[in-house]
Amino acid sequence: MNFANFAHGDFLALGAYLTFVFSAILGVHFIPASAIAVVITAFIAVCCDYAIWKPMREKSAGSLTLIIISIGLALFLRNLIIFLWGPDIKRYDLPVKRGIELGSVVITQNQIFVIMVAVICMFLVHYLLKRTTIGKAMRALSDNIDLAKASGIDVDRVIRYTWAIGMALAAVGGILYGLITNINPNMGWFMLLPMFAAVILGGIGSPYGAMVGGVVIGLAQELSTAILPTEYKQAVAFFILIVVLFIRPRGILGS
Amino acid sequence: MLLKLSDVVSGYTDMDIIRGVSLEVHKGEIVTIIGPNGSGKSTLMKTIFGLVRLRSGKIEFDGVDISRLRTDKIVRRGMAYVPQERNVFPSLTVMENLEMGAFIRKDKFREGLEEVLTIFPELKDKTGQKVGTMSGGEQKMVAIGRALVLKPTLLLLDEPSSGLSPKLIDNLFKKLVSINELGTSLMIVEQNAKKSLTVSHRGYVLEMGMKRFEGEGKSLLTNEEVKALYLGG
Repeated sequence: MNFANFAHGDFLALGAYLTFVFSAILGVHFIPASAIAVVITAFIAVCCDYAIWKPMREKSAGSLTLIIISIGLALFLRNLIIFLWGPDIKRYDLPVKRGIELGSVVITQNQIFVIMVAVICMFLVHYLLKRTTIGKAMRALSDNIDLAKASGIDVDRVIRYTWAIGMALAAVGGILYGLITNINPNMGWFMLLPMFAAVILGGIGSPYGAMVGGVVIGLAQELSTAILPTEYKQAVAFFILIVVLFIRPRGILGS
Repeated sequence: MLLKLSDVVSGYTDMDIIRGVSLEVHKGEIVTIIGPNGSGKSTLMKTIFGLVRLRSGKIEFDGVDISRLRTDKIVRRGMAYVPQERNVFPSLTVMENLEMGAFIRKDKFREGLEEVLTIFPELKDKTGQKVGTMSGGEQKMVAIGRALVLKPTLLLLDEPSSGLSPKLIDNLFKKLVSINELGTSLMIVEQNAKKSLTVSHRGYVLEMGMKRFEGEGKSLLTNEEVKALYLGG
C-alpha cells in the first residue's frame, strides 16, 4: 500500500497489553499468553484492513491520506489502551530470575530470551519472503502491484496476510520490549522514532535493510551511553542516520 | 470464436477512450491492432483484461461473458496479458517471476516452466538471477514467460517490440510465431505495425477509439489508405 504506518507502534503496545491481560490478570502462563496476544493483534490488524484500508484502496487514496488515517488509528489505539487499562506503568508479574555473569557483564535470562526470539523471528521472516509463495507474492506486490493484479494474484488477500504478519511481528516486538523494561500506553509512540530511523537507515521497502538498520540504531543508542549522557541516546541514532544518508541516500541496503 | 467484443465503450473517470469497438479473435489466430498514438489500443487491451472498467458493450471469451469479471477470474479462464512497461518484478529472480505467473495454479507450474524454458532456452541458466539486473531483451522474455506459464489460450501483448533493437525484434516475432504454433492465440498491439502484420492472420486499425479498418494481415499491409495513414507510406 506504500505508506508509513504510524499506528505500528501502537500495535506493538497492544500486543504487550494483551499479553499483560492474559498473563498478569487471567493467570495464563507467559508463553501461551503471548501467543494468544499475537494472534489477537494479527486478527485486529486484518479487521482494520477490511474496515479501513481496503475501502481506501478502492478509492485509490494517496499515501498522505493513508498516513493521516494511520495517525488517527494510532491515537485511537493509544487512548483505547488508556481507557481500558489506565495510564500507569504495568508489568507482566513474572518471577525475578538471577542474571548470568559473563566476566564483568551481567545478562538477565529475559534479555537472552529476547535476543533468541528476535533472531528466530528474523529467520522466519527470511524464510517467509524467500521460500513461501505468499512471501514471494508480498515481494511481487511491493515491486509492481499492477503486474501482480495482471498475473491473477488476489492482491487484497496478499495484503491481508501482510497486515496479519506485520502486526503479529509488531506484537512480538512489544511483548519483548515490555519484558525487559515495562509496559505503558506511550511505549509504542516512543518506539516509533527509532523504528522509522531504523527503516530509513536500512533502506525503505527493504526488510533486510530494516533488520540491519534496527541492529545499528539499537546498538548505537545503547553503546553511546558509555561516553555520553543517556539523554543523548536518540540524538546519536539520528546523527548516524544523517551520516549514512549522506553516503548512501537510499539507505544501507536500499536500491 | 475465442474472443468477441461487441460495441465496447470504456475509459477513465469521465472520458471515454474506446467508443464502440467490435472485434474478434478466432482460435489459433494472431491478430494485430495498429493505430496512431492515443488511439486507445492499450486501453482496449486493458478493458478486455478487466483492468479498465467497461462502460457498455459486451466482451465474451471462450463463449462466456467476461464483461464484468475480475482480472484474476479472467486469468483463471485462460487469458494472459503482458503490459508494455513495468512488465516484470525487478527485485524477484527469473524463477520467482515465472512462479508469480502461476500463482493461481501452483500445481501447473512445473509443467508450464518447462514449456517456457523450451521457448526461451536463453533463460535456462539464469533462473536464479534478479530480473532487474538483466538486459532489456532478457527482461522481455521474462515478461512473456510469466504470462505463458499457465499455457493461456489467449495472450494479449501490448507493444512487445518496444525498446528492442531490430535484431531482437526479429527474434521476438519468431518466438511469438512459435508460441502461436503451440496453440496460444495472440492479440498484439503494435507501433511496429509492418513487422507485426506480416506474422498476423488478421489485423484491425484503431483510430480515436473507433475501428477504422479490418482485414487480413497481408491485405492491410498492401491497402493503399492504411499504408499512407498508418504504415508511414
